[in-house]
Amino acid sequence: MELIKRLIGIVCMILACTAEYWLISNLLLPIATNPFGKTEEAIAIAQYTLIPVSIPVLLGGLICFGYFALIGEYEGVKK
Amino acid sequence: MNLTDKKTLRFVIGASSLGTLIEWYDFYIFGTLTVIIGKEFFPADNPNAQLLAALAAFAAGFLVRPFGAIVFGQIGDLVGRKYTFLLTLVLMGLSTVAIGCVPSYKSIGFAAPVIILLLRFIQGLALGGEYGGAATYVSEHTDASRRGFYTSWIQTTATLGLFLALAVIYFTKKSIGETEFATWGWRIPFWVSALLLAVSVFIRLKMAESPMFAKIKSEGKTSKNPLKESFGNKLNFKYVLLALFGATMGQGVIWYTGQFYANAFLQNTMKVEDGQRTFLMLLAIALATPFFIIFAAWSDKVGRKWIMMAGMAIAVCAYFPIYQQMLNTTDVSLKTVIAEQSSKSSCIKADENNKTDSIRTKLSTTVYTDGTVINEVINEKIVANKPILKLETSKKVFLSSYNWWKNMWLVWIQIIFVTMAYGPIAAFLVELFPTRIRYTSMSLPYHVGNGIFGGLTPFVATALSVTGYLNGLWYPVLIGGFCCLIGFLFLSNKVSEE
Repeated sequence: MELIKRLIGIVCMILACTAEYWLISNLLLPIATNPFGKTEEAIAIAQYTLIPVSIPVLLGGLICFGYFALIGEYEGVKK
Repeated sequence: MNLTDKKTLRFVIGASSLGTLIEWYDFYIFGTLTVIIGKEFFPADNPNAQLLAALAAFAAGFLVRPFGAIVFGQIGDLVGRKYTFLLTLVLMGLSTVAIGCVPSYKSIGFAAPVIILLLRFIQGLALGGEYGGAATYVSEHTDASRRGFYTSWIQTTATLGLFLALAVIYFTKKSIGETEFATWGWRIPFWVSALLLAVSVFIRLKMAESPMFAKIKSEGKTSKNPLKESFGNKLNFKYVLLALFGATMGQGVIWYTGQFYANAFLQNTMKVEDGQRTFLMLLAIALATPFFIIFAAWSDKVGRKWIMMAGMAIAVCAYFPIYQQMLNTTDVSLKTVIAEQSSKSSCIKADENNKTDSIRTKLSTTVYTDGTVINEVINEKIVANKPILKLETSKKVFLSSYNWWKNMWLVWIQIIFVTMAYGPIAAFLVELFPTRIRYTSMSLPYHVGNGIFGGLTPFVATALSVTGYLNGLWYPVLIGGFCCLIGFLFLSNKVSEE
């Protein structure tokens, strides 16, 4: 079980990087190069509100969680 | 340990739940009346107003709620629970009443959408601070062995807030009529909040500080910097992350799918008539709400983890079959038409904007053998020597009695999954963090999980469903499944003890 937890930690970090790559290439770059140009305003602003939240939460949070799992921070700790 | 006598405890739970219920009601009436508010304050021909409209809809739910959790969480851990969640209640109530009083775009121009946006931001901030305060406050009055049961009353408020919002809007519409409601009557549900606010503030002013917080405050053991202790301290921060990725993230998507996406699916995909849909949702919510208390009380006996994980796992496995069954009830390819009872008609009149053009309105009523009736109205513009231009189509599906009940139970079972995942979560979060930084630590993962991951559900699912009616479900299935896996592996099954 402990080994699976550590492997999940690696999966989380890979997942975070993949999700970030997708967010940046599919949402951030199109908006940065052509703000409100082709997409509807509502969609674009939704992306603006998602990006500043999704990047720290996904990249920061999931990588931190994956790292803690990988180094065994969640093993045998009872609260 | 008995911290509070039963009479006081009942008062604490009642007053806390009432305030939180009002906050959810205030938050949801804006969401439920988005279309009317959009017409009043955010005209479609003004792109800047449209930007503000999108911000009001998205940002208050996603961006601002977690900030509210941080700001008010910090105040709650420094000053105390009582005054903090009194402040959030007043902020929420006043901003809601103010929304109902803002003159329209036609009256004051661009100032109207700006004011609405600011008020909506205040709503988001206040909501971010309320829930953590109420859950913390109630749990700090109770003994550990029944913490799940007592905090479950707070858990019912989000669903009951939605119920109250739908009911007030429905009965206001019924009593003054659709046209009056669209012109000015939509303001009434916002004004109703003033009455609810007055009652709730009056009750909450009589409440005392939580005994646990009062004790550590008198001993000088409160945190000097709750934000730093919550998120800068690795020992605590790893539990914040575990709460988010192992519980609140999945619970958020299950909550929004079972109630908001189900409602949107009935409305936009299945085109169920408004009155039938509203009653269906109201009954499903009313019948499912007691299960918040049942599952939370059960979690006191068997532990929080397995009930929450079971709710998420069953939901993830059941969504596709459930929504397929719902869709089948309005799928005309599976039905037989009764030609004798069906009718079609059309009329042509001159276009008011251009007298040389005409508008043709086609009306059709189709009756099916299973009792389903579909009314369709198609408006077309006819211009000489040009192809016919379809202007708008409206479709209303009147479900047969059997199909109405079938859909009601299919929505009800989804809300049961919500009660399993959401019922015990207040007790779970409270038990994860120490008193001195509890308000801050539990508020952020809750509002990130619910506000961001959960709040995105209708938006992402609707965007995905463009490629297929049921493709929108991949979002809650993947997020819920991932959260369930993390929770299953990493969470401990804590059973409350004295």
